Amino acid sequence: MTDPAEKITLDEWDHRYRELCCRGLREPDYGGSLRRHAEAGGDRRLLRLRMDNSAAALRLWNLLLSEEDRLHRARAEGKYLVGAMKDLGTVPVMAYALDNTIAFYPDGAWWTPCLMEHSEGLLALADRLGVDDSFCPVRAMVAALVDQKHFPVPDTLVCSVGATCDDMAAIAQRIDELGFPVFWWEIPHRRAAEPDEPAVELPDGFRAPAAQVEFVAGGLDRVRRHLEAETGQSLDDARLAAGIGRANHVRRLLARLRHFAYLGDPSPMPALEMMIAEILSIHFCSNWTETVAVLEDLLAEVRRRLVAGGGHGAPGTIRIYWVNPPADLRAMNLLEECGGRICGTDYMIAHALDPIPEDVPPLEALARAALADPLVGSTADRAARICREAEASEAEAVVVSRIPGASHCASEALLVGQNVGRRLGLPVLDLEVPPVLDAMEPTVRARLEALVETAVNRRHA
Amino acid sequence: MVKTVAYCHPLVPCEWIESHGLRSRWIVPRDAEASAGAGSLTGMCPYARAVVDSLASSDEPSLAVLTTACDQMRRGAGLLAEDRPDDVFLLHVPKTRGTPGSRAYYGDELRRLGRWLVAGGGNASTADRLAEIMARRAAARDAFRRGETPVETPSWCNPIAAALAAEMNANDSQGAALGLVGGPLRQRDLAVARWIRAAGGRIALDATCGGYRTLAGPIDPAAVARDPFEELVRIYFDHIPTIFERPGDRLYAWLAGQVAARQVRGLLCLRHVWCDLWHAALPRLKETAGVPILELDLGDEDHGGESRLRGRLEAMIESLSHPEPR
Ligand code: SF4
Ligand code: SF4
Repeated sequence: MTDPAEKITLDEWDHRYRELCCRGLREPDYGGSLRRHAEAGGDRRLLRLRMDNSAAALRLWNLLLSEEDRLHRARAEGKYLVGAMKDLGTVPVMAYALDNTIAFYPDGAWWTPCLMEHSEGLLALADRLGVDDSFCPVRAMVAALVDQKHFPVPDTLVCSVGATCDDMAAIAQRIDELGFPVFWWEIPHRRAAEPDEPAVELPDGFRAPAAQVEFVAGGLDRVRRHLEAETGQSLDDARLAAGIGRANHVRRLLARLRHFAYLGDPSPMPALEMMIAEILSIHFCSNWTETVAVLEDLLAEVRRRLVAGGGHGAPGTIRIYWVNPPADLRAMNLLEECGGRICGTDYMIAHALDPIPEDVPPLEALARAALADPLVGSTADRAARICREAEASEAEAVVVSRIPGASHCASEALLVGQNVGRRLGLPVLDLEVPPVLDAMEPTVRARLEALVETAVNRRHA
Repeated sequence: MVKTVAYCHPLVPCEWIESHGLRSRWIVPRDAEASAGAGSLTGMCPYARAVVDSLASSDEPSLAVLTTACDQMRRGAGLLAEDRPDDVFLLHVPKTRGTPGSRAYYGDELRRLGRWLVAGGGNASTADRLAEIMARRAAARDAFRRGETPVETPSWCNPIAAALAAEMNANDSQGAALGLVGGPLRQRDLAVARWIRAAGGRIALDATCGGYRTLAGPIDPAAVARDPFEELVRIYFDHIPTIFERPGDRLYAWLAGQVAARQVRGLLCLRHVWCDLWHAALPRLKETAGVPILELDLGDEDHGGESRLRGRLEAMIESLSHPEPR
């Protein structure tokens, strides 16, 4: 199907879906029209989004929006559910190495108030549970566990603390207090090795003291034993290595997809779909096989468009590097409506995109991956990586998307801005995006337009 | 001239700094509003910001030890390190408790701190010197616990907590006994003690960070003689109940015990705005403390909220002064 790339509304998707079906679209069991997610599922934000018109994008959206159903089905089938919290990409690799085990991130409730446009009342319930809007939107997770209207309560919750945000450290403790026991493990602040101290290379190219890797591996060994005890299965190194291999398969697919999508000109896949694709890496949206299939489809579509010279927007659109996931998905649409396109990203999951080493013992490999989390190191390290990637992707401007209430955002926006300005001389926009930005849309739009205009002027200077 | 090492967290042992031949000083930050500031930092805890600003604008040649106990301070250390990378040490304080790894990690971090202190101009610590300083500091803390006010500005606790203790000792009111719990006090936060006194109440417990709650534990002289470093880890890491440790039950149990022992009638949770850790702890504190709790957002008074804070405080003291009709 070589239709031109377009971004279409949900109404337009109704027609498009019928058209694709008439042309013989074959779908997995979670397939169907996107409208059902807005109507039966309550994901009303879809009505305000513009989505890519490809069958690959349809499958991506359906995979994403059917996750809660999938988790409930898994529970009904007697599968063991692991709720991983905060580490974003480590514990699920271990859990998926076990049989009959599904891992997901309750943190994913972060986007529920956006998708459901607050109709679900999660943030209001979080307020009543003592977790108000001084916390980031991850507070929706505590409410989702209590009201049990979204994902099923996991059989175990496993949370990483240490060099994490205060929001998660505080909210996970509250969750524990509310009667959902949390198994804690720790990732320390990643530091530079002392002179003469043994150090190892991490997947992101940074180095960490071997002692830190050993400490994290020790914590992950506790997680391993916990999962073994809970599931009654052995999680030996061979199984873990196989799990790492599967995670790396997804990461390699994503690396290719990002490469083509972010370098291709015009942009062959919109910012919104690419962000969702990236996020599949952290726990495979509760279905590894389908994640692989979705990414393969997206990759094929991107290649087709590149070969055909098609894509979204005009060639030469201003290239933007985006930092942090926006609390409202609509922000990604807005960026493109304002004349920008994504050329690189740091959605706080860089460590879930880099391949996990396969030439060292599995727990050590996972520890190295966990220590590569951009939020575990210093903001200066994160800024350095952002500069490196922004430069390599020929970014012309950087957006630091501020997450309301997030403990890392205040100083981060300042430091990233300073570093990018100093090293690359690029314009930087510090932009707060609330879970539903409609009330602020004129302001957000004006600020994005001003950024793009600055970048255009720079280009012609 | 002996260098000063500034710090502001109870898990940084002053004895360890001093055993390297350096002076230790608990930072009393100027208020962020009064200092230059580092640009727009909406969302940053005012205490963490004030510490960063104080250190950044200090003319005194000093080293600083900050910790990862909370994300705000960890990132504050990053801001400071932009300009003075060699003068700032970030100590990772493990959050997990009850695992052998985390306790050992704390000890390793102290050893790393020791190497940094030597590189910064200190001498290598010796067991004898450490033991001698531990004994002195332990004696000072014991006296403080007995209610004696330190004559000199203490390096082993937040000096504002010592000033608060002087205020507590001087207040002979028989009014409702209150406890303070929460983040570290700044100079301006002593106003809360004055308001309490003016409303006829008194403070019977200081469980703020840097006060009585977070004093290192009493030493066991035999253990000090055997292995002072190991005893240092014990009196700090094993002894001090903190807001950031996970699981977090120890703090609540400690507080409930103190409330009962000191016949505290109500607690004030002093929370610097944007401090997630203390804010999220409030519901559990309410469930476990056994007495009414009022949360006071330190920072509200900047926005004309002082009279509101005082009003809430007075209402609480008044309600505690009248026993409920049976
Ligand atoms: S503060 Fe940031 S890192 Fe933490 S849960 Fe919120 S968005 Fe995620
Ligand atoms: S008051 Fe809270 S946020 Fe501020 S430094 Fe202390 S623990 Fe961190």
